[in-house]
Amino acid sequence: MLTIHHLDNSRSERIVWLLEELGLPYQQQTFMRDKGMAPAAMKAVHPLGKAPILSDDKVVIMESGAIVEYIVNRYGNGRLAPAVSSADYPMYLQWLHYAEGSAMADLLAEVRVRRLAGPEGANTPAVQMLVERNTNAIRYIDSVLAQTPYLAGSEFSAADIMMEFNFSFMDRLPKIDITPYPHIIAWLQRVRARPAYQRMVAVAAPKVSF
Amino acid sequence: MITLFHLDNSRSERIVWLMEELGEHYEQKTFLRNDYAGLRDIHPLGKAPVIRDGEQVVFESGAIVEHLLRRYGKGRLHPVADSPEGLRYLEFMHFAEGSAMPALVNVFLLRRALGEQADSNPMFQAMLPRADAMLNYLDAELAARPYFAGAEFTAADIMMEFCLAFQERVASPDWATSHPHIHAWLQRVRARPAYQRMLKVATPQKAF
Repeated sequence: MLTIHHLDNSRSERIVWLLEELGLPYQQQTFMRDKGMAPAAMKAVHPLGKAPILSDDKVVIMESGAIVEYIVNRYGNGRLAPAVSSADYPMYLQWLHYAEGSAMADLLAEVRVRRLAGPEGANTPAVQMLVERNTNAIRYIDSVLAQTPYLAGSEFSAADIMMEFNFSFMDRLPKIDITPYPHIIAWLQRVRARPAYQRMVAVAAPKVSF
Repeated sequence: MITLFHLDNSRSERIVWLMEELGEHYEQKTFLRNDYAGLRDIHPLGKAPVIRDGEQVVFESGAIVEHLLRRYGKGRLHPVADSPEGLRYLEFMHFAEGSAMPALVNVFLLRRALGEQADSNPMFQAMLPRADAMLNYLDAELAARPYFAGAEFTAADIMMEFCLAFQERVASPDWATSHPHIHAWLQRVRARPAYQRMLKVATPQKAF
């Protein structure tokens, strides 16, 4: 039995969405944040105690991108990923790694440095460098979505699931403005209209905001 | 033709190492940290590593490694997928950049930004134990097996080595001695001839 160990108001909602997309039976164990962070109880599931964690019977898996690949490869039956031999596969892989490997880290860096710098520090080079990097990244994503309806090409894939959360996150924290990016906005509406996304929201929408 | 675009003193050295392990011919273009705007001509994100493989441009460390292994690896450096080793491989391939680097870079940047005030800053005080817990976890993993995926060296070790090399570069060169299994593993992987060849062509020219 697949169990997603989910932290309220966190990136582990991606895994719930993925499981709903594939229509797999699963259990969901939701942990509430303790002073904003993952509670100590999550360490009983995995020593690092950070969400998402997936258990598949006795096997325990950490790390968003790894969990997504595990589920898609093992249970996907060809869905939610281009064929390995297809021309879209490298792009798919790039997004799977990029979402957490670069994009989230850069977004969080901007959030943290802004917090440290305070409102008076918003125009300092330290903040502006991160703003520029994130703006450039968002502009790039918009340019990809100007060419194809989904991030890895013409079909919806787990790459869209990974990256949607980054924009959801931008929305929950002050705040990166994506109104100048029509292709991203259209893509977000498209992916969030999916029934599986709506089912995810029903079971894993944040109970407590940041 | 594979062209690797390398940023001096950065994580793109992993790709140099990987290419040396595979023994495939490649070209390397190195950008220095004071002059790397040219990376944006290769790919709009303007970051390293990025490679050109024929007509295809691939970014993001983990994706580049997977792409190169699929095309040129002939099964090397990659465990069988449906196995405990395959699972750990998958975890660490994503963990290196998804979790390890952010934790370590955050501590480094905050300490540098806050200086003496770091010790009394709540954000730093929240981050430091998490980075420490992460490093202790890695040490425990390497106590259980000689390489991150299991008994054999894989590309997951290449991905993870840079995280721990970064920690040595910003903490102290002998930082790893306080984590004996990480220390032993570093010596083990760095003894590889391909690693030594990587150093010849990609040793950092300038410190952080």
